[in-house]
Amino acid sequence: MTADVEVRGVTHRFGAFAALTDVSLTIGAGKFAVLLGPSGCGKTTLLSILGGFLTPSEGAVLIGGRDVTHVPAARRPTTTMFQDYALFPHMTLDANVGFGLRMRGMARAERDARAADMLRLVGLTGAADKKPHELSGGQRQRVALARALAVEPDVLLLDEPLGALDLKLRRQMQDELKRIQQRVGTTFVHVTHDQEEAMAIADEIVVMNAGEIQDAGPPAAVYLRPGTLFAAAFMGEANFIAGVVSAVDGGAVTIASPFGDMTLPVGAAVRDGLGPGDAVKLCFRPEHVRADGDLAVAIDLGPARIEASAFFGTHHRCHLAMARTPDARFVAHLAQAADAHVGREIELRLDPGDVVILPADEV
Amino acid sequence: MRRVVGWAGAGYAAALYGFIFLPVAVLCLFSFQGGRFPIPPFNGPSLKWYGEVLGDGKLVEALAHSLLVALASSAVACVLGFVAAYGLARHRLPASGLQRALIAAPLTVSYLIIGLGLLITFNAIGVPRSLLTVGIGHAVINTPLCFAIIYSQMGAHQVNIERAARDLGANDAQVMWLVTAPMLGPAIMASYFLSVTFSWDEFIIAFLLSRFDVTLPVEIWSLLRSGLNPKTNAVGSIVFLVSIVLVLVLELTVFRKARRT
Repeated sequence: MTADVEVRGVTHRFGAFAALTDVSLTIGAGKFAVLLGPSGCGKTTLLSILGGFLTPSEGAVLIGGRDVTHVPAARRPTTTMFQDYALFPHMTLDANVGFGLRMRGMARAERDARAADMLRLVGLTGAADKKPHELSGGQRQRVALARALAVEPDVLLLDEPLGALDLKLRRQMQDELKRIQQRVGTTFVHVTHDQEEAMAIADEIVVMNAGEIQDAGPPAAVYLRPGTLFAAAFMGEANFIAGVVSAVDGGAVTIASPFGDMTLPVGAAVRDGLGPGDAVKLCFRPEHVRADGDLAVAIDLGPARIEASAFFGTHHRCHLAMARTPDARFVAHLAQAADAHVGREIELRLDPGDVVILPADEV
Repeated sequence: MRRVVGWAGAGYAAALYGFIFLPVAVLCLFSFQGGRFPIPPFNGPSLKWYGEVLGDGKLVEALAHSLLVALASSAVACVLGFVAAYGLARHRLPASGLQRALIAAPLTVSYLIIGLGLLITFNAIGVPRSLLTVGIGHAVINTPLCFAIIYSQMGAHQVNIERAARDLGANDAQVMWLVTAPMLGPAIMASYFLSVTFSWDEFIIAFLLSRFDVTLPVEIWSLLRSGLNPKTNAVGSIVFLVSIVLVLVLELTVFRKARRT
């Protein structure tokens, strides 16, 4: 079962502190959505509001078109997979997984059969009689997932479920979560502060900061065309150049910057209506830096010196000091085969298509 | 020098344990006395006085009363203590610090005061003294104990587990009965057994609040009024044995299990 989720103008206050400010969001049925942001950004508060553990101070929550703002957790078509798993320590695994079905009045034989199915789905065949304390962290995780999915919720809420696992297991569980989500078709809303995890599993990423949504969209869109400076910086490494719009002429924007005038297509701006005099920030990713110098139509950033370099397997990650602006330091990923020794001078170029123009008035 | 300290330590330990256990040992020893007086010389062993105890209808009846009062009043104390602990640990209540202090306060008040207070209250509202009033008295003294033990074991880590149960469709009663109480099983059992031991040999409240049906400590007291004889030693030994058994059961079932999981 599956349903879409709609959040309409939700504000939530804890005393004087506003954890969420006028948040609106739509998640399509059957999507894997990830709420991404640093701690304290309000993502867990939003998840609690979706799950029915908190009632928002203002606004509404709709699941499958039904207003559930004031419906308690027990009667919502949602279940939550908790960060600490929250398994029932005194029950066997099949009793854990079958608990929700028991609350719905399903007979024992039927729910045991269903629990066995769910345990098989998460790769724990034959462990029905074990107790949670006999399991490893990763296995408890799977039981928590099976328990939450056993009642066939329309929406599954996952509260940083992979935070306690080591890196390798985390990668493995991400793949598995994705596989299971595609198989059951339930809408998943997953909270994390790890942008790599978000990229690995999400159909849709919602970047949050300080109680507001900064950007939302498919991973590629959020990464390549972030909506705000915060989203750009949070979704991975980014370099910024401050500038001022000097002219808007048909399809092109000219921006005056410490590196000289740059002409970019008007489509590079994430907001419409740029005019001369507007302060902007140009954003590009480390892998967008071109050091080969053979681009015909390119933005020339001038000479750069490699100050530090580390080999990452797929690329060299370099810190560059720019000759034209002695204060500026950029991070660049140079090709695996490139010569990236410290002290080398390179000519730095950018493809205008890789650069995003962001309004400069936000942090 | 070290040796001297070692001997002194051993001597001190012997004196300490002797001080604690010698009276009990003497009591038990003379319960096996062959003669009519529980004083040296010892001329036993004999089970004669135990036979007398078991043959004494009043004593056996009092023993049954004591068991009944202990088991029932402890069950009441446990339920009240658990519900109070659940409420104070899981809900935001007005002046919860004060409420906690008030529930725990009877632990510090003397049994004599509690007994007198209950006696006056029962007189005032016209409740006759009986085993029921003794049971109520024991529930009054043991509820704070059960509350304190259970409350101390209610941690924040169980909150999410209860929340998960609610999320899966459980109502408040189902959460308490199916999730919280089993998770707190060791604490609840510990408080129950401790409460039973306290009720089992409690005298002052049982004395003040009982009338025709009495508990074992009260019956022993009336035996003592007619002077010492090995029969009182025998019945005292039985009381002591039951307490020991309760503590052992508690240790073997509850605490062992709690350590294992």
